[in-house]
Amino acid sequence: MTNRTAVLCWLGLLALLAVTLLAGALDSSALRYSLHFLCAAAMAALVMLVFMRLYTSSPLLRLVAVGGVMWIALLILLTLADTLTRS
Amino acid sequence: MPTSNSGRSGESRPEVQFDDMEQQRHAGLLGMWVFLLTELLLFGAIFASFAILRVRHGAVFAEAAGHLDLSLAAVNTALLLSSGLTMALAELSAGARLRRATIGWLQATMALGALFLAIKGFEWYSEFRHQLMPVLGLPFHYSSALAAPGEQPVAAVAELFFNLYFIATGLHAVHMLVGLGILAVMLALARRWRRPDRIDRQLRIAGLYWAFIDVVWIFIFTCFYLLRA
Repeated sequence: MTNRTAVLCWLGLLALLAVTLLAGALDSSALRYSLHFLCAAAMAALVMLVFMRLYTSSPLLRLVAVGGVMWIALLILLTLADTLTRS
Repeated sequence: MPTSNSGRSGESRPEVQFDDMEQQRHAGLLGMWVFLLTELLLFGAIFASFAILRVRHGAVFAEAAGHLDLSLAAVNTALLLSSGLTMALAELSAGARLRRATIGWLQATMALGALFLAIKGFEWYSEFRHQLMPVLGLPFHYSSALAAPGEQPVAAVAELFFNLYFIATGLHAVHMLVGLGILAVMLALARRWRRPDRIDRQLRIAGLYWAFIDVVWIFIFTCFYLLRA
């Protein structure tokens, strides 16, 4: 990471924040919510790749980070699948 | 035999269990990542609870989210993202052995973090004044135009929303306070500037924690503030 990369990442994060706030004006709640989550995922990815330096980290650190995100996704998806399919 | 003392050049030697400094640095970063994953599980349980309740009581949760102050939360998000930048610049300055710049960026990060907490405190006070703070036995009064969803009254479901909101933002604020404490220690070490290479390694690890707080807030902001009617 260089000073320039860090500043560009910050500008990208602020742009994504602006996009997600502007998306709040959309009428379709499905489209609005999708955009909110897309922006959130993109912002989190930017922070992890640049500020947490995953893009220059060793493969082991990347594996740990991706594994952690996968586990939390499984936790939420399987919990949802269980509770929402009960009669 | 290698020791933890610094060498004649002022750069540290590795601890006895490591072959070289690169291995020691990598072990420190890996340890922090594993710790952050346990933290992720803690917040993950809150987000999983939120997801279930949000799907079950979509209309009430969307209406309740409308009672939160989106403008203040957006300002806070911008502040926290900016603190991520200043923390990254502090790390880079320490890496370049620039003492004054490291101290300056660390102070900027702490100021932004403290401002975030001050705004969050003002927001909580505003919710307390509007009797929307169902914690510690405080009164909770919620009026709604929605019909009761099933057997539960709307206010009871809205109370669930605010319970989760205060748990998530409260836990996040505690992490911010811990982060500020870590930064205060790093600032004191940077002022002394006795072992710059060690400060560089420690700042990398502290920076991971601070960035993690950023990531958690991004999802709190999205789930609780943006998913409104």
